[in-house]
Amino acid sequence: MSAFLTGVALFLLLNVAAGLIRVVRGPTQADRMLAAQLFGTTGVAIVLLLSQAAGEPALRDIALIFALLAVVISVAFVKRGWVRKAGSPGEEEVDLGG
Amino acid sequence: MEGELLGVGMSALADGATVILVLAGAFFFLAGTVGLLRFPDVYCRLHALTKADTLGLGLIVLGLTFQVGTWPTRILLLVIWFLALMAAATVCHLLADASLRSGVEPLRGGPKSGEAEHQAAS
Amino acid sequence: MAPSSLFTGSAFMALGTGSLEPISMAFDVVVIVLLVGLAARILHTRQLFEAIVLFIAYGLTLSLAWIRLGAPDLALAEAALGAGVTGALLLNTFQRLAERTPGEVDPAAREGGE
Repeated sequence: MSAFLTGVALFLLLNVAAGLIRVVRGPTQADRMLAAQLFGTTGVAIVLLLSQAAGEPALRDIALIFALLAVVISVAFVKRGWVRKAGSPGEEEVDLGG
Repeated sequence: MEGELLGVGMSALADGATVILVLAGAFFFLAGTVGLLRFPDVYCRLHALTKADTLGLGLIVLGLTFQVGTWPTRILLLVIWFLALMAAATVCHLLADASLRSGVEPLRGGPKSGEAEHQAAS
Repeated sequence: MAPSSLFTGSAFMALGTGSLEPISMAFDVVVIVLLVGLAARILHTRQLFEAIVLFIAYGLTLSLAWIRLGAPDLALAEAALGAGVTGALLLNTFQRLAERTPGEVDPAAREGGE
C-alpha cells in the first residue's frame, strides 16, 4: 500500500510539473497565478499521500499550510488591483519559448 | 485501530476502497491539468482547475480515510479537504473577478491561433 | 555517488521502513529535476511576474524535498515563509513597481525577448 500511495504522489507531482507549462506560456497574469492554486490543491494531495505512505502524521499539518497558501498568494495578487487595464487587449506577452 | 479489530476481510476491503478512490482522485487531477493546459481562456482554466482538482482531492482524502486508524485523524483529513474547498472557491472568485475587472473578455475571440475553433463550435 | 547515497540515506529515514523502494527513489529524482529546472527557468526568464510565480512553485517543491528528507518542521517553515510570505511580498513589490513605471517592469512591451 505504501508503494502505491507513493506512486500516486509521484503521478500528481508530474501533473504539477506539466501544469507549470501554463505559467511559462501565460498569456495573462491571472493564468500564471493559476499555478499557485494548482500547486496548492495538488500539493495537499501529495503531502497527504506521502504522510500516509511514510506513516508520519506530522505531515498533515503541512497540508494545512499548503491549502491556505493559494489564498494568501491570490489575495496579495488582487489586493493592489491588477496593473493591466482594459484597453490593452494585446495581453499576449512575448513567448520566449522553452 | 479499528482496521485490525475488523479482521482480515475488512482490511482487504478497505485497501480495495482506498485504491479505487485514490485512483479516481488521480484521474480528476489529470483532468484538471489537461484542462489547465488545453482550455482557451482564463475563465475556462479556472473552472477546470478549481473544480476538478478539488473533487480529485476529495476523492483522495476519502480514500485515505480508510487507511488511517482513528476517528480524530479521519475528521482532520476531512477538515483539510474542507479548507482546500474554501480556498479553491475563494481563489477562483478572486482571480475571475480580477480578470473581469482588468478587461479580459470571457469567451470572446481572445485566445491564440489554433484554439479558436474550440470556441467557434460552441 | 556521494550525493546519491546521501539522499538515499535521508529518504530512508523519512520512510522509516526496511528498504527504499524504487518508486520513492523516482519521486526523489522528479523532485530534484523539478527543483533544478525551476531554478534555471527563474534565472533565465525575462518576465518578472513569471519568475515570481515560479519562485512560489520552487518554494513548494523545496518543501516537498524537506518532507522527503524527513524534516517536517523545515517543510512547514519553507511552505509558510519561503513560498507564502516571500511570494506575497514579491507580488506586492512587483505591482508597486508596475504602478510606478509601467512598461519598465512589464516586459510585454519589450519585443523580441531572447
